[in-house]
Amino acid sequence: MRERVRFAPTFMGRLGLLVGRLRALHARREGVGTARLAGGGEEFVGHRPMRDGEDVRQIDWNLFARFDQPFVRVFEREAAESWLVMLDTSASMDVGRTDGAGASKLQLAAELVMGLAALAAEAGARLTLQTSCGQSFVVRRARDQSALRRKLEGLGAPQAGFEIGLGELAARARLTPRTGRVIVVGDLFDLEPRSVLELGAPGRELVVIRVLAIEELAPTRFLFGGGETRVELEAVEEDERRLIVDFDAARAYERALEVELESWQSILLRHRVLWRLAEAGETPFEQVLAPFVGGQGA
Amino acid sequence: MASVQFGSPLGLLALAIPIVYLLFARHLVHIERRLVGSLVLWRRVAEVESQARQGGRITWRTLLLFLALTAIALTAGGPELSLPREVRTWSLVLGRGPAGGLSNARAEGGVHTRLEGAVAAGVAFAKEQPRGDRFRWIGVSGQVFEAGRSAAPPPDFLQAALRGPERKWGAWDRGDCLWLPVSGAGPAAQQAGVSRDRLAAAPGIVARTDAGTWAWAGDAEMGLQLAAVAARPVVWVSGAALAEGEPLRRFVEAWATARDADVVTSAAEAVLHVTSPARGEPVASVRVGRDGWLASATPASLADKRGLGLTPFLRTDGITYAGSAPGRIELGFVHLDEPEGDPAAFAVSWATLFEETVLAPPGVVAVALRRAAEPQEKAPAGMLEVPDSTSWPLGAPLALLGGLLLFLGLRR
Repeated sequence: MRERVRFAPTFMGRLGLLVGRLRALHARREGVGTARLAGGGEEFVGHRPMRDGEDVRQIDWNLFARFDQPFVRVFEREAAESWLVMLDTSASMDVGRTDGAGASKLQLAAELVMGLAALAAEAGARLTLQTSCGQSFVVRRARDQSALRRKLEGLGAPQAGFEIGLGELAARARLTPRTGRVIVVGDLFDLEPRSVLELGAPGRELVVIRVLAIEELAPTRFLFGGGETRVELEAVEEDERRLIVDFDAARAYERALEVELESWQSILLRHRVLWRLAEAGETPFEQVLAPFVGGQGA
Repeated sequence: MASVQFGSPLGLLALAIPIVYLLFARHLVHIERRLVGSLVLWRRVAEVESQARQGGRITWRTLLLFLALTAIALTAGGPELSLPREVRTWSLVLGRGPAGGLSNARAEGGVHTRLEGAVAAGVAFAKEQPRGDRFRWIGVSGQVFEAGRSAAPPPDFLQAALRGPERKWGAWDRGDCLWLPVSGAGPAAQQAGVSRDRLAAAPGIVARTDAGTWAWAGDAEMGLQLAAVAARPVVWVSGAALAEGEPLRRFVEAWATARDADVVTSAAEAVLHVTSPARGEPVASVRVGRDGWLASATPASLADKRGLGLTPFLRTDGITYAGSAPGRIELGFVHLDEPEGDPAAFAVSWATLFEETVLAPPGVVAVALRRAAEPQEKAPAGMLEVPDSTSWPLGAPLALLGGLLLFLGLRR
């Protein structure tokens, strides 16, 4: 039985603070009274990573010094675009500590979607959410966020035949020239960096947010921290035989995962794709979205 | 070299516990089941080695628990670390003669013979000695039974002791000897130890005369009474050296007369059997003698092979010409000349041999041997000279080690 997504009573307040940070950033950049995030004219509305072929004069050198990654300023004309959020809702996203000490990957992913929707609304962009179980939802205005919240809270078990996975979802993605941002949120175990890069286009920003649970990030500590000698692993989304692993295998797994994460990061950064890694139950969604509001994410 | 010994070997059966644990360890391990979304990656790195390891790999935890259980199980055996010590050989000297066959009441109410009691005392002494010591059971002349701590001499060995002449204890008064007398008579031990049960008085036949057998009622010094008319004991002689007219035959007849015995030359139940070879090829005579007499003897051709297993009496140039065993005297010559020198010395010398060798008539046991006697326990002087081995009990250190391993094995 999959855990339902639940937004804590304080969540909307945290969301407001995130949007407030974005507004404050704009206020500092453009001066009091010019911090409007969407509309006509050439007003500054935010930052995005630099893309291939762009003029180096557009780089915000202050941000470059802080993030060691080139960002360019985004103005309202550019911001008046649509964002596409591709959310992995497969069963594997249910993994994560649900004993009160943490949260599932899907919970963090849902919070990230809510955060992205709030930022998009603040930036005047239209956000389209597409899930790997075939659902789609559009957020045009700030008030649509309540409906989005209900939608996310209603995420249930994927129905047979409807779960297509992020790879397939990426392949089917409807992208238009106005699609200025494509944000992929999931654990990405069934996705290759190449599939993400194929979503890119001139003037389009790609963002990859990889959400993993602690048992996936550090099994030697979490699965074997209690002195277990062997652990039986069961895939949440596969009806296959289980796998019994020991501590040595867990160490080998961690080494392989580290190599894979470094590979993802290396490839994506080389193509100026924004890469974020988050741990369910540990990383606040604000920290993951910090680059969107000029902050410094861990 | 130091060695580990176990005071309670049966306790080592507890070693079955760690062995069984090791055999079933992998079935006892509870395996947690976890849901993961990254099984694809797990399979890539862990499938082959993990699947292979399911088939019986011993984990550190299993090994620690196995060692812990083994250490604890070993404590049940009462282990001791012993340093090397000098191995001692004890002589357990059994009392001889028919007195050993007298019945004696056990403390717990049963009845056994005095000889059985003496053997039991010897075995009890042996069991108290450190592991590794050897024990030589001394029976009749020429018979020695060597054994470990808990073995007793075989029945034929004990039967021979019952037929033997009374023990002359003086030869065995050494610090490495334990006397196991079957009567209260005899000298007091100086160096040797003594172990004897309480002996009950054993009434019965004490003498045999022309008039018959004399019995002792066991209740008074002068309680002898004529019991029955009995046949005279016989001395059975055979061989050339004991033919009619031979000097030695004359001596045998004189000795037998003094003992109220008859000399016969045909098979009979005799108190003494004196034999010499039949006359054979003539060989050169030899001079034999002892105790002040000397005589020429005509040896048999195989004289050097005679006397094996006997206590030598006449021995010249390494060849035994006369030897004895209880109830038996064997001669290695076919003729012995009249002795030179003092004739009395010749008679006393042979008479001493005959007295030591002759068996008591069946059923006849002297009064002195039949008397009751108090139990006696005296340790051999040798026990005080050689210190016991140094040993340390290993139970506590092993238990401590087992506890530590158990803690490490169960630590989460």
